[in-house]
Amino acid sequence: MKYCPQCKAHVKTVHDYCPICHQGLNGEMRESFVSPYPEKQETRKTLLPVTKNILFFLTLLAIVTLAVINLLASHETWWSLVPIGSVLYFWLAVRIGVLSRHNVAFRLAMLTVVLIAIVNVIDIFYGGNKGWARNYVSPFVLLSANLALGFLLWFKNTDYRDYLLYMLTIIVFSLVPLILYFTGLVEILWPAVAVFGVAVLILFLITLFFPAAIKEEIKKRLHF
Amino acid sequence: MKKNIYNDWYMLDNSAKIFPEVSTRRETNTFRVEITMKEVVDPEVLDEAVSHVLKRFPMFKVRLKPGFFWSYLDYNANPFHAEKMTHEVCGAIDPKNNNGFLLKVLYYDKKIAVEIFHSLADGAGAFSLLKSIVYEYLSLMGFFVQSDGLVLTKDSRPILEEYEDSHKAYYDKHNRKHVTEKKAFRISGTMLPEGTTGLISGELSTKEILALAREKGASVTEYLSALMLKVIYENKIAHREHMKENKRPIKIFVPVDLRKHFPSRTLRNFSNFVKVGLRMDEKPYTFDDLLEETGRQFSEGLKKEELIRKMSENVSFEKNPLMRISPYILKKPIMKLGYELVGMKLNTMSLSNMGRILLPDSLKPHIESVGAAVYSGKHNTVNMAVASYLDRFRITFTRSIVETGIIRDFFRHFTQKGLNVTLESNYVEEWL
Ligand SMILES: [Zn+2]
Repeated sequence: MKYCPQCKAHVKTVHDYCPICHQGLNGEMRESFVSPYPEKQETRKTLLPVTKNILFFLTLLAIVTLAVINLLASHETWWSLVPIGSVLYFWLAVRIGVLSRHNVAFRLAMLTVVLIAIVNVIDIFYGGNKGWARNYVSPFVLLSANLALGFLLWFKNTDYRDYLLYMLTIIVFSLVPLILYFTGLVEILWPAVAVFGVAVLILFLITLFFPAAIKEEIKKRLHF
Repeated sequence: MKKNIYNDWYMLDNSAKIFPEVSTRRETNTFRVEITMKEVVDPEVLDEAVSHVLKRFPMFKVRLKPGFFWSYLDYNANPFHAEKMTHEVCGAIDPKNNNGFLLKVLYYDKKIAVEIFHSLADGAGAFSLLKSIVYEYLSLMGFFVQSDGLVLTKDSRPILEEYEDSHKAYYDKHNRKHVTEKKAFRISGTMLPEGTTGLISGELSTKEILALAREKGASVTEYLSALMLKVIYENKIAHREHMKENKRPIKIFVPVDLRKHFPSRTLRNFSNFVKVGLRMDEKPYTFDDLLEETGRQFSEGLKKEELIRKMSENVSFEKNPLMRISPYILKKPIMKLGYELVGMKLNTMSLSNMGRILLPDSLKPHIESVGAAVYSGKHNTVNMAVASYLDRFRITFTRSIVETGIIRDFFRHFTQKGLNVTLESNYVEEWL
């Protein structure tokens, strides 16, 4: 054991100075002595944050470049908004879909919502509002999300707890096209019916197979 | 109540609700309890012990999830593993890098430690878990062990009382007056880099320190608090009384285990605090004056009505109808802001005395000492945690500043009185 004559305290350490007054210590430790706390090791930096930053920087660069070219070349029309939208979607797709640590169901739900928002904006503001986005693309994006989540839930049913909420969100969203049809905002009926049918079927299957889980999930998420 | 208590979800208890909103990499709200064994720890056996014990402590095998009105703790099916201790002390526990869990079981040489996010439990709950892990570890190592009713073993069954939010069981809605407080003096210094915490512990003889406190008619916690007032004053305020920041009161936050005051068996949070506060610039205090003042403030703060008032103040915040119906997304910034404005800056330091750790006789031949540590951050730059086992009384300082003057003077107080002190440090200055 070492000893600090200034502090009159014993010190268990391999270092030669006192931890509280930083003056020299007397005495020696036994050969077998191990430091009471681990030494600092350099923590391994993961590549993920760097990749995220590079991606963000490239996205920003592309958007600024597009906007500048738009302003300099022809500022009568905002044609650059369509490529900017695509760049943004690409960024979100990679950021949420690939680089995020959230669970698969969350990523799918997020990407579905973002994709639907973007195609509708493009259709309404730049495609002459022909309605293809809300009539066909949106229902089918929802339909595929429904099916994908249904399969996920089916095959990975051990951690259904983490998926259920996003699953229910997508199902609720799937009712929107049909509601829009009855309010007259959507003109084509059958894609809306198709997605509604699939959503109801999946909902029926979930309630059939995990009735208690659904009740629990709702109780958990809504307790106050 | 719940039908399946092994595999379920829990509302955050009243005092746990604030921590997820205000914790950062600097203010981690993590604390550590540790037991040093007589032999080097076998990581594989420890890992097995931990997986057995977590089945007995379902309220710790959880992840934090957002709900619509409040966040909650949900059963976490991921595997849990013990990890090798790194240089980090009470660092931020990032659930994303930790299989979603809010606690870590660490080993290093002869030590087994539990680091836990404050939302899960307080010191008493964490020590219960650690004792069970050590018990199971020794049992798997082939030693004869017997719990003597002092350890929750894996063969016992969780009981509902262990899950209780005891704040809600004992609060009184008619006794919840809010008392406004002044900002506390802050111990300034050269900040250590984020994720780096200085740790210095001193081991004294329990008998000697008890005798010292008894001689002055004080409890050990009162004695340590008064001594902190003294050394902070001498180090930071003496001869600089005229400066504005030195006119702020030094306030020492002392957690109180409410299980000692109310018949609760919960393993979750159930603590409150006593605060010792004193403006040191007004007149010169002798150590005896400080002891007397500390004793007075302790007996005030520990009165049953006062403990209930502090508890009820927090519970009524959670039960406020407006607060209850606002979505979690809105609650988050409200809680964060409230804490930022008032909560954080009301203390100079915290002094957690986890008390005497009782272990069954069959474990004693294998155990050297116990210890505890709490995180230090931007506002509480020096904190103290105390735990004792037999005649080993361990005081652990953690700090987020480089300077050690206060800690030096604190320990020198004892050595000057002829007490034996054995110091250990993680020598954080070597990493700068
Ligand atoms: Zn010294």
